[in-house]
Amino acid sequence: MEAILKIDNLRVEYRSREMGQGIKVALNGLNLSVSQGEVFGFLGPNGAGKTTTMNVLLGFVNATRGRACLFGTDVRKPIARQRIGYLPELTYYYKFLTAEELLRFYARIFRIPNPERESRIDAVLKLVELADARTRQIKTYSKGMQQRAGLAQALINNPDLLILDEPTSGLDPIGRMKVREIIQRLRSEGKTVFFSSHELGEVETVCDRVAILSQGELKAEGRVSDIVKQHQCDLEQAFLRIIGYSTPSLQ
Amino acid sequence: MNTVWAIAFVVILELIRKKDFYVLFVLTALITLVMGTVNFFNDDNIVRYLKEICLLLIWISSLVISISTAARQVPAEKENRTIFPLLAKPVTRAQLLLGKFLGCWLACGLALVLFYVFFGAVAASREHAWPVAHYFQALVLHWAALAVIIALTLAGSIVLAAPSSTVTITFVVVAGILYLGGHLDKVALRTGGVAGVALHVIYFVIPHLELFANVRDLIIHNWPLVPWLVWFGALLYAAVYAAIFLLIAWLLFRRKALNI
Amino acid sequence: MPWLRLTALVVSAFTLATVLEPALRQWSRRKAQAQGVLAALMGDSRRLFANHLFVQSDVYLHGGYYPSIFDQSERPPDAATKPAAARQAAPRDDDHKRKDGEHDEHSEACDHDFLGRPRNWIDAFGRNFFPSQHTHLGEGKAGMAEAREILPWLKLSAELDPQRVETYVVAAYWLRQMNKETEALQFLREGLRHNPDSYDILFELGLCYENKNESALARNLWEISLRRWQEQQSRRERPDHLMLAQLLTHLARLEVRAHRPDVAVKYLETLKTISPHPEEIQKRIEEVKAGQPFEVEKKP
Ligand SMILES: Nc1ncnc2c1ncn2[C@@H]1O[C@H](COP(=O)(O)OP(=O)(O)OP(=O)(O)O)[C@@H](O)[C@H]1O
Ligand SMILES: [Mg+2]
Repeated sequence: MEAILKIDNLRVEYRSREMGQGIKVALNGLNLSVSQGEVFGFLGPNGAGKTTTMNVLLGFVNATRGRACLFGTDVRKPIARQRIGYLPELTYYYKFLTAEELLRFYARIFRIPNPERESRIDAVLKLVELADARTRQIKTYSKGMQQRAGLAQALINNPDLLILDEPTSGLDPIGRMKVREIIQRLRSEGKTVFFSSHELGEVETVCDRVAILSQGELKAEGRVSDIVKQHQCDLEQAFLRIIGYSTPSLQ
Repeated sequence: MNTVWAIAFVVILELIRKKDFYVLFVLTALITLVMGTVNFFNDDNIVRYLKEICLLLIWISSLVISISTAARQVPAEKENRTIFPLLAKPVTRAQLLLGKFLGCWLACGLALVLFYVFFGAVAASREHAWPVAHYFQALVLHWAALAVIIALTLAGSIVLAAPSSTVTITFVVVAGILYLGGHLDKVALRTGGVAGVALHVIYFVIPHLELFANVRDLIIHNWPLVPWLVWFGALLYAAVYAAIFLLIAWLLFRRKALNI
Repeated sequence: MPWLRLTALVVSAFTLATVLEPALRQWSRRKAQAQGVLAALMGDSRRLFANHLFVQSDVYLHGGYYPSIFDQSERPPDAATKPAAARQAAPRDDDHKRKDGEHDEHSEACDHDFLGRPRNWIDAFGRNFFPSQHTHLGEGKAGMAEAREILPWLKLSAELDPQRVETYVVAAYWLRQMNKETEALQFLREGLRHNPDSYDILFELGLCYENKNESALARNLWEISLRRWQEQQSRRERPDHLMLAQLLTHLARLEVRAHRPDVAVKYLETLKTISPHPEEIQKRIEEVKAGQPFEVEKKP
């Protein structure tokens, strides 16, 4: 199968502003490849480098070494981003816009022609259940509603590849279920989803494959069932073992 | 270009929804009208002082609007992290800057039209004349000067992360140019030496915004039009400087890592 | 938005001051307090600001064609120290010269082309964007009425610095030119309240009454003015002879009209002692003695 997302030997260093702090290696020698139609879970403890990887994929952060491609195009070219949808972690949108206006703005950037644009906006708003609040300014939204608006903007261009950074954070149980449903529906449409999460349960239900990252290095990669089989325990315990955390109960 | 317009449109929308502009407009109108009610020796036809005050307030307001808006665009995008979903779309950083510039500039243009219509009404209430061509010349020159100022501010906002420092520094620079820009060469001649040479270099490098502000006096004192060719030349002059500052802004912004 | 707030603050303070000024002024007058709100707000810098406003009236007289401080400092230094110019602290007093009917050729010529030849292309180009030809209000088709435009600045300047005599004098001169004697009188009286000993204002008041054909009042005022002049100036090293000459000429003419040639001759004799052209004055004296009328404007 064709690799839609490919990361080769990626290394990212952050240079601290403060003198004497030296450099911080956030990613080291990361190799990853996600093929068409896959739902790929990206796991790792806080500070493992998940967001950094996504930042490189979207061209926000420059790789110190190695390269990353989307659809076979280097991520530094903006055209690589035409067919992706991205949901950042912790994002606030233009507070003075309504959800409708926000989506219209992004749709214009994707050059979605007018009649299609409006129907697309209607569809995604309905999908994330913001149709009732569509004419309210985003500053009046709750955290979960903002997250939904974020999901809506990630879907506006009907992307072939979705990069979601903790898509379920801040959502209520129904919202989480909805997100799972959306991901599953996208897979059934043949789209590719690359997402990070701390919710191992949901990863287990929706992912084809997962990668586990720790301290900037890839520790495990493969099908959830294979990893579970290999470690002879459930995903949570396997995860803890892989990242090198051992509790007395495990020994 | 579509992308640039979309970004510009959001900036305009923001300006329309924020209250800054209305406050400035109401203040300008209020002060002008209050000054208009002052009785000077029972003469109701005195108008030039009113034109002077009104134009001065318009210039100050336009500087405040343009500089404060332009200075916060890029930092606010970073601060609110809205830049991430935006740049995750097929948008280059050049387009982002251009859109921000265009948005600020168009919004200021809209504001200027309103201000100048008010000014025209004030003047007409006493002079009973609408020298539309004169006002048009002054307005477009004013707008052109704002293009330079906005581009300068955008470049500043990329170097200096905090909008407040960008605003302060740009304000000082612009005020300095407006008051001293045209005389720096004279000062340079009198100073002499290394400082004189430095002043001369500055004189030839800075954008001479005072040209655009000086037109006020032509309007106030009912002088004839600026020759149209010269007027057009001034617009080109402003365009060149705006382009230079935008280019600098882009060069600074192009490779900047976005994570804060 | 610190800038916005700051501007808003300054601007609203100014508006408030402008709005409240008349009301508070009335109130404070009742309490016999001379200080206006603006004066209290701005402290001593108001003098400087008043000077700025006074200069502004001169700028307006020239339709905006005016040297900046940078151009002024390039003028030959003697222009600023001439007795005529040194009479008051103003950097330029064209108004005065016009009033006096005297024309300082050198300084005027300097001002006409203070711009000089274009220094470089920016300078040359820039001259299209500000008034760059010498002109005076009242020379256009609108006539003297155009001069009204300078009045607001004088009025505001007087508000800020009521001790500045020339503000009142200049304003009154122009008001007389526009046949607004009533307003001129009112303004001069205001000036006199702040400067009770000013021979300048007294003289100007007399001119207004003379215009209104109230010769008795005019004579009275000029006589007081003459006394004030003698009290203040006669012991000076370089007394203000220009003013004295005008006073004496006007008094003499008034007396001639009132058919009191002997009094007129007495004034003219004094004038002769200070005039640069005593022989001319002598001729006048002869004329008066012979019973001929004479006009002030016939001065050399
Ligand atoms: N701008 C930065 N400057 C310096 N170090 C940074 C910067 N951004 C991230 N880091 C460091 O890089 C490492 C990886 O961070 P990253 O945000 O990718 O983690 P993450 O896997 O997304 O964590 P989380 O699960 O908490 O979201 C962390 O150790 C973090 O401290
Ligand atoms: Mg993260």
